[in-house]
Amino acid sequence: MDILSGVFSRVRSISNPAPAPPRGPNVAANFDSRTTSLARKPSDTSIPEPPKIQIQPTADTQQDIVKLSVLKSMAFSPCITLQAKEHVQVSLQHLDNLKCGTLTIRGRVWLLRMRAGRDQMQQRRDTQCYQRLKKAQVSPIHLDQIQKDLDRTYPQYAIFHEATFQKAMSDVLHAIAAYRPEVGYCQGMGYIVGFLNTLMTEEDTFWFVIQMMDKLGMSNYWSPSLTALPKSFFLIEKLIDTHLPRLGRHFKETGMCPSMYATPWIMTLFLYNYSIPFVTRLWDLILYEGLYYVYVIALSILTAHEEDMLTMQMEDLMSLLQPSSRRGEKEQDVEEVLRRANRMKFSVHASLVKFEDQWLQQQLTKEGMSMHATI
Amino acid sequence: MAGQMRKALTYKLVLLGDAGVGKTAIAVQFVKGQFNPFLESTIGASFMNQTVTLPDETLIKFQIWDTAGQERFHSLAPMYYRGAQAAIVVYDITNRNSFEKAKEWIKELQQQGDPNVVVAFVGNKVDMPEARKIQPSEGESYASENGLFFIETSAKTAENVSELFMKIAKQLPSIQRQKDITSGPSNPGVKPGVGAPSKGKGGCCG
Repeated sequence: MDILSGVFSRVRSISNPAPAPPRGPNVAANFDSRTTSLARKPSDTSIPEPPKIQIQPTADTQQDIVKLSVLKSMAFSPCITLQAKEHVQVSLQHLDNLKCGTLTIRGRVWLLRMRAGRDQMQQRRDTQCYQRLKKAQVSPIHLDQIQKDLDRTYPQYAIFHEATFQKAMSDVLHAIAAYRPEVGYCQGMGYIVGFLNTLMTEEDTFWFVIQMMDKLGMSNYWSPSLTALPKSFFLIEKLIDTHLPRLGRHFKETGMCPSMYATPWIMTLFLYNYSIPFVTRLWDLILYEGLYYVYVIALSILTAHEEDMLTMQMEDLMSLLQPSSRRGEKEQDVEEVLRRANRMKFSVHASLVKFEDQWLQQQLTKEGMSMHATI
Repeated sequence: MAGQMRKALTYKLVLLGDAGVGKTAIAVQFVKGQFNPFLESTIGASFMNQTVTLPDETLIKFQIWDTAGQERFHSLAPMYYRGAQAAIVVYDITNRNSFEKAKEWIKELQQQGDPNVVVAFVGNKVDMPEARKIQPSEGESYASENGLFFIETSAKTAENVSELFMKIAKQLPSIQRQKDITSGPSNPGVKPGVGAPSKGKGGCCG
């Protein structure tokens, strides 16, 4: 389904001129046309125009206002200036001081970007909607799994053990399962919800995740049959073969394939793999560029390790790429990852368009050994 | 020193079972000798390896694939159990559903897996006797009916965890030797380092 819709939106964008974006430079307003398909065009300049986002003034402190203006202009850029760094980057120390469910500046910027704000979403007009949903009836299978996973989500961060925080996570996940019964609860969503709840209120988090399902197409990755995951594995393997051919050959010789390491990249948008400060910056760009940027970042990360990986056997490769066991160890410089990603995005994007077509052909003709047939 | 020179026989082992039964905890206890009550949920699968030495000095290296337990990850499981020489199917002795789920895994392995795979049927969390719902006899009789070996473990106290892997290890080479004898020299036998999903028939990446 997502495959068709992705292609459909691409075909539409080729055959018909894209619907004229709403007037004005409001990036949030352009969101729909930019991020629904994986194959959305990357921004045209090598350093994207900083988006201008209108944010209603609230009772901000002077410091907030500075941070807001920096984030508005810099957070979505892959090349932040030195002066902006302290405002844009997140420190672990900052994380220790977090209070859950408070709307932060970055939370506001992201909500607008995702069109999940109260005045941006039709569904949010019903202010009681979320309150009802978190008490609505939900399959006990989901509720049981949600409860099991609360303690098992980001256990290394103190805030994730707090009772109020866990209650908020559980309520949001409950509401999602009630609102989207066809998706229900998927392991990994807890990371998304918990992470977002450190940046925004519980209700904001709920609507943000709903928009992630609809605008980024995440529901296809979290659905009971994980519909879109096989396609992702296919795309990652093809991208490695094309852009890092030596590594592609080495992976084949050592028996490595994306299903062994890439599931959490896609399903948690890297939250399962890296620290919150690191992933926050990745998300700045994924939310700006669209879901295709997950693949660009993945290739950027692989490129950084390429020389090392060429000398490794499967076991060491797995421990390098494996989630969570390495989180908290010395990570790459995330800004370098983003700069490299920015340099690669045009060629990666072009490849993705091609490989999506190949995947579609495979699915339609049932030729070759498609993932579906293998599974 | 001589021990380090010997090449270990490498086997692929997969852990299967319902979510939260302690698959990761068993693997971590075996590999690191630790127990952490707040281990993260496994998304997709994780990989570890550990080597054991049999009484006859044979080195057995386990490549352990620990899978996600939630039902919707089930469709990924064949990528991990395909080509595996050993499987540990785990249930939680305090949870009836997990026992039923474990039986389903056994059925699937019997239908889809390698017929020579060594399967262990494992009841975990024996450190919680007051909450026990599945008696050892029940697990035992199911295992013997299906030709599996049965053991109850506690990943928390480490009870029977290394025994579990030793028992598997002891069964492995004998099966392999039998295979070598019956199939003659054309059979390549144990291939150290082989066993990753993509090497098997119908590799995961097509």
